[in-house]
Amino acid sequence: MTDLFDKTGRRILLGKKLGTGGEGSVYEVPSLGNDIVAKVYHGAVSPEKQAKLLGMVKGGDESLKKIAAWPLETLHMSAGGQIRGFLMPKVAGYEPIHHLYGPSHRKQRYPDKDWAFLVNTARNTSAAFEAIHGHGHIIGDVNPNLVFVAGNSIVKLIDCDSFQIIADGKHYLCEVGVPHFTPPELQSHSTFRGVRRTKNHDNFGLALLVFHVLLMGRHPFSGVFAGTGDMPLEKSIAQFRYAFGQNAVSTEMTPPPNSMTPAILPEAITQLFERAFTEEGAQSEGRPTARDWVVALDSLKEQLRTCGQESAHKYFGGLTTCPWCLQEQQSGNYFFISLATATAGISSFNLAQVWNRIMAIESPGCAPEISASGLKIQPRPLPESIKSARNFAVFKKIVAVGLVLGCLVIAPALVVVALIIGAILFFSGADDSTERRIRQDALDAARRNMTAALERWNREVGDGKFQAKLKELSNLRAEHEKLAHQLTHEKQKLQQNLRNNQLHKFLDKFFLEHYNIPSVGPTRKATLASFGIETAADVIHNKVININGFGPKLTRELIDWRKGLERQFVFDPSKGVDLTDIAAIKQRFSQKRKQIEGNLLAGPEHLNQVRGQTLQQRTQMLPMIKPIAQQVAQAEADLAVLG
Amino acid sequence: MWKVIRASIVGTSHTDSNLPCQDDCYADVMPIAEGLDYLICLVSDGAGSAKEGRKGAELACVTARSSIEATLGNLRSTPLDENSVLEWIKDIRRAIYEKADANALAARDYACTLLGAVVSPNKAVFFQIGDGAIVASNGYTQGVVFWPDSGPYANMTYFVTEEDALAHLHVTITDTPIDEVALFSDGIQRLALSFEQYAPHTPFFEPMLNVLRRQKLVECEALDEQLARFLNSPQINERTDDDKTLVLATRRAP
Repeated sequence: MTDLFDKTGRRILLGKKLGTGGEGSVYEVPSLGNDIVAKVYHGAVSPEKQAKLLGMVKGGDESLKKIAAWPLETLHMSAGGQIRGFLMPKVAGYEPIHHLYGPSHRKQRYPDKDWAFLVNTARNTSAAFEAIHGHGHIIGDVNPNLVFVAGNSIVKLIDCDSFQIIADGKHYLCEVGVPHFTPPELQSHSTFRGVRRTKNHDNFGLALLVFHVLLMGRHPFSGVFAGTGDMPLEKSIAQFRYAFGQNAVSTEMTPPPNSMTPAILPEAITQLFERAFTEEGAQSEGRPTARDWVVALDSLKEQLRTCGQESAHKYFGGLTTCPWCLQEQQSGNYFFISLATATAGISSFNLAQVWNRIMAIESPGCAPEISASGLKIQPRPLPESIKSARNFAVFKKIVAVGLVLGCLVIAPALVVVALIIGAILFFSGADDSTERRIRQDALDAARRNMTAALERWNREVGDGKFQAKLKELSNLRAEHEKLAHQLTHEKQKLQQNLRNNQLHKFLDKFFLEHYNIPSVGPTRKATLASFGIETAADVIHNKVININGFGPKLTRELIDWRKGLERQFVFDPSKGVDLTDIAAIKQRFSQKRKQIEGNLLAGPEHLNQVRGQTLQQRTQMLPMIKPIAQQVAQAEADLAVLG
Repeated sequence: MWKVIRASIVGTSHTDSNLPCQDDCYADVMPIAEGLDYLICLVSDGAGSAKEGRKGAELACVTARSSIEATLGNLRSTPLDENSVLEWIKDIRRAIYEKADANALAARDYACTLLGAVVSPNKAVFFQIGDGAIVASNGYTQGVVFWPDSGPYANMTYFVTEEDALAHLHVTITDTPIDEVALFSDGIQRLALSFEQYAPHTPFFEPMLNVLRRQKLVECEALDEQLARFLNSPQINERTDDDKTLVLATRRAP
C-alpha cells in the first residue's frame, strides 16, 4: 500500500493491518495513537461514495462519534487527490453482539454476564439507533455484526460507511443487507441497489436484535412449522410468521423446543414485539421506534429482581418464579453460569434435630363431633285442628266401647250391628297425615343441610391439611437424606463419561458461524442457532434433521463437519474429571440442599400456621354449623310428637 | 516411473447367482510437473447387501478420482494433508447422497468401502473406510498400512455411506519414499495377509511384483489381462468365492 494523505496534505503512515473485509482493510496508524485506525478501500472509490464520505465527516458530531465508528477524516491518494479511505475511532475491547446473545459464546467468553447486562446491552443498542435516526441517517444493513459491545455494556456501531446518509439534502443509499435481518416488506427485493430505506425498516432490525439479546439468541421467525412443505427463514419473515406471537394458529408456527419466550418479559415489551413482527408494523411508522425501546427497556431495568436461589439469575420482577430456574429444571438448559463458589459440605443444618422440632408440633386432631346435645329442644306444638280431632277420636273410642257393651246387655240380638258401628267409630281416628308430611320434609331438608355442613366441617377443620404438610416435609426429609448419595452418583457418572465430556468440551469450541459448511449459509446458521445449535457439540443427527428445511443433505454436511473436527480430538485420560464440572455439580446440589433445608427449617412454623388456621376456622365455623345441628334436632323432635 | 496393473473379478458365488461384480477400482499416474508424478490408486467394494452396491463403488471411485485430481492440480495454494482427505470423502458422500436422492433410494442402498493411496516420490497419503487392506513398502520394509477394519461384529464392516463414516476413516500421511503399493478388496485379504503374523503374506505378492518390476512401461496393459486370469484361476477360486480386486504398483528398479 502506498502512503496516503489527509485532507491537509499531511502524509499518513499506515501500521499493522488489523483486518480485511470485502471492501477494504483496516490498519493501525501509529502516528495518531492507539485510538484511531484507517480504513482503506481495496480499489478506487466512486465519486458518489467520495461525496458520501465527505458528507459524513462534515456531519459527524460528538453524539455520533460516541456510539459509532464514524468517519473522522478522509484519506487521499495524493495531497488533495482522490479519496481512498478514512480515519475512524478504533473499536477495541468490544465484541460483536452475537457473541453475547449466543448462549454458548457468552458462557465461554463472558461467564460473568447476567441477564441484567443483556437488558442493558439491548437498551444501549436502542439508544445508538436513536442517535443515528435523530440525525436523519438510516443504518440500512442491520445485522449481528453491526453492533459491538464493551464489558460495561456500552455499544458501538461499525461499518458506518455503508449507512444511508443524508448530507446537504442528498440521500446516499445503503445498498447491502442480510436476508435474515431484512423486513418482510423488503424480502421480495433481490438487490438493495436504488432502494431507499426508512427508519421503519431499521426498526425491524432493531426489534430483531433486542429479541435475540433478551431471549437467548433465538430468531423470532424461526420455529416449528405446523404446515406442509419447507419454511425457510426468509419465507417465514416475508409471510409474517412470528413464531413467538399471540397468533400462533394463523402463523402455523410455534417456538422451537425449550425456548425462552416473551412470556418472561413485561407485557409492554411483548406488545412491542407483536407490533414489530406482524403486519401492523409494516405500515408506515408501524413499528416501535428506537425511543420506544429505550423507554421500555429502562422500565424493565427498574423492575429486575435477583433470584433467591441463584444470584446469577436476574429476571423481570413481575414474574412469580425465576424463569431461569424453571428452564434449568424443565430442560436442563443452564443459560447463566453461577459464579458463587459452591459452599462446601459443612453446614450447621442438623436433620434429626430439625425433624424432632417438626414432630413436636401437635396436630389439631380430627374435627370434633357436632351434636345438639345440651340444647333444650321443645317440639313445636301441634296445630289446634289436630289437637281437637285427637280429643274427638278419644271420645269416639269411648262411645264405641260403650255402644258394644250396652248392646250386649240390652239387646244381644243387635250385637253384630253394634260391633260394626263400634268398629267404625273406634278406628276412625284423627287425620294428621298432612302435618306429618310437612314435618318429615323439614327433617329431610335439615338432615341434607347437616350432611353437607359436616362434610365441609371435616374437610376444612379436620387435620387433613396438617397431615398433607407433614407428608410434604417428610418427603423433603427423604430427599435430603438421598442427596449425598445422588451427588456421589453424579460424580461417578462424570468419571464414566470422561471421554464424552472431554469430547463435548472440545467440540463446543468450534462455532458454526466461523466455518464454511457447504450449503449452510448465514441464514441457515441463524435457524440452527434458534434451535440451540451453535457449536459442533450441538450438531446431533436427530436434533438437526427434525428442524424444518434441514433434510438428509444438510444434516449430512453438518454431521460430516462435526465428525471431521472430532478426528482432531485426543482423549487425555490423565486429565481426569474437569474440576469446573465437579464444582458445577456441587453448586447444583448445594442449591438444591439449601432449598430443601430452608423448607425443612420453616417446617415447624408452617405446621404451626396450619394448626392455628385449623383451630381458628373451627371457632369460626362452629356458630354456622351449630344452628344446622339444632335444626335437625328440632325437626326430629317435631316429627316425634306426631307419634 | 510408476508401473501399475489392476483387475476386478466377479466372485464365484456371484457368478452362480448371476450377480455382477460389486467391486470397482481405479489406478493411474497423474503428472504434476517435470519429474513429479502422483500415483492414484482406489479400490471400492460395494456392499453385497446393498441394492446398488456396484453403482456406489463406481461413484466412489469416479468422485474420489476427480476430487484428488482437483487437489493435486491446486497444490500451490492448498497443501495435501489430512484435511484434503476429509474433503475427498465429503465429496464422495455428497455425490452418493445426491444420486440416492435422485433415484428415490437411501444412501445405504449404495453402501461401499473405500481404500486409497496417493503417492509422490516424497509424500504418500493412504486412507481407508471399511475392510480390504493396503500394503506398502519403501524398499527396505513392507507393511500393512491399515489392517482390515471390519468393526466389532463378524460379517460386517464400515461404509462410506454411514452417518458417521468420517469417524471410521483411517488416514496415514508419510514422507517416507514409498516405491511399491498394493490395494485389495476383502475378497482376497485372507490370501494376501498373514493373520497369524499380522503382516503381508509375501509369497502372494512377490512373484507378481517381480514380473511387474521387470516389465517395460508400455507392456503393462497386457499384464492387466494376466492379473485378471490369475484372480479367476482355480487356485484362487477354491479359496474365495467373493469378488476380488487387486491393484499393484511399483517404481522399483528390477
